[in-house]
Amino acid sequence: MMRTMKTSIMLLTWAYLGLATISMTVSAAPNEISRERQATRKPITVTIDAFQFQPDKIVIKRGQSVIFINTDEVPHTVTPDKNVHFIPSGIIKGGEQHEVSFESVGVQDYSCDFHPSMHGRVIVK
Amino acid sequence: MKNNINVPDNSRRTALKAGLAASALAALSLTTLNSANASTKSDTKHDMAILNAALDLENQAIWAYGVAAGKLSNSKVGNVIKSLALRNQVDHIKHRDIFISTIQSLGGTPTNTREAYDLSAYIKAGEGNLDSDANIAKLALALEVDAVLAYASAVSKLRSPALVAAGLTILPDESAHAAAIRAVFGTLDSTIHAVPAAQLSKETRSQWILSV
Repeated sequence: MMRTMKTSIMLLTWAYLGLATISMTVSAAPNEISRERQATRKPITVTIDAFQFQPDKIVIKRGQSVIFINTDEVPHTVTPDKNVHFIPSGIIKGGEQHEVSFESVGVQDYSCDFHPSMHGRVIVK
Repeated sequence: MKNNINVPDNSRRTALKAGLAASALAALSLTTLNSANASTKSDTKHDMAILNAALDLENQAIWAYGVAAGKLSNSKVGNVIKSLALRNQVDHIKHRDIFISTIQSLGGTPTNTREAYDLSAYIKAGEGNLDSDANIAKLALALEVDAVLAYASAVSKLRSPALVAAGLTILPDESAHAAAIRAVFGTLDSTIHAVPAAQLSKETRSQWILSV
């Protein structure tokens, strides 16, 4: 009788551990996907240096953001051209940075208000 | 590309008298070009972007002085400021032409001038306005001070030594403009000095600016 009970408890324990392992595997899968998504949608950095956006052309995914880091001493802006849809950065002072989120698919051209010769392009896919 | 700005006769005469100087500066530009050719294509492209940003600043200054001159009163103070504004504008026109010729000589395309420039950040910051002669002069001062800071930053990032040398001939002229505007205020208020600090930098900017 005791032997039968011990065997049953052991079987139950194994069954429980097995289920727990399966459960952990199942719950880990979405997290990995989520982490993967986060990795691919990690913000991209564009440096503003020597009155230039570097790189001046990037390709990103919809919803991904771009961090503009101004390493010049003077202020710059990241201002969308006409018919381009993203929120303008406003003034980014020297040494400061600003994150811009791109939610619209397509070619997003921008320039600096203070130095209109400074151009950049973000292609959102 | 050239701006259509009405320059009075006396300023035109000044500009003509300065013709020889302008030729000398044009020669400097060509010297610059020859040396710049020795740089790599990448360096030239890099420097050309900086020259175009400097051209942006000149276009903005020419436009701003044109707007300011049209708004200044016919009072004694207004006329003194107008005379200075137009002299400064003539310098900026010369700088603009040097940059255009240099960029073209390097095989680049000079940036176009805008119909108007946004100076609201200065007005919001209380660093000038267009509502009185004094405030117009303060706005011009803030623009000149920032032009100096921008030039200093731009010149320090040029890769061609010849272009650095050429840029350094324009930089002092920009700071002289700021000092000249402050000198006009100095004639009205002896506590305002033409050169208020030993340096003109981001750190001393507030000493140079005259708030509204």
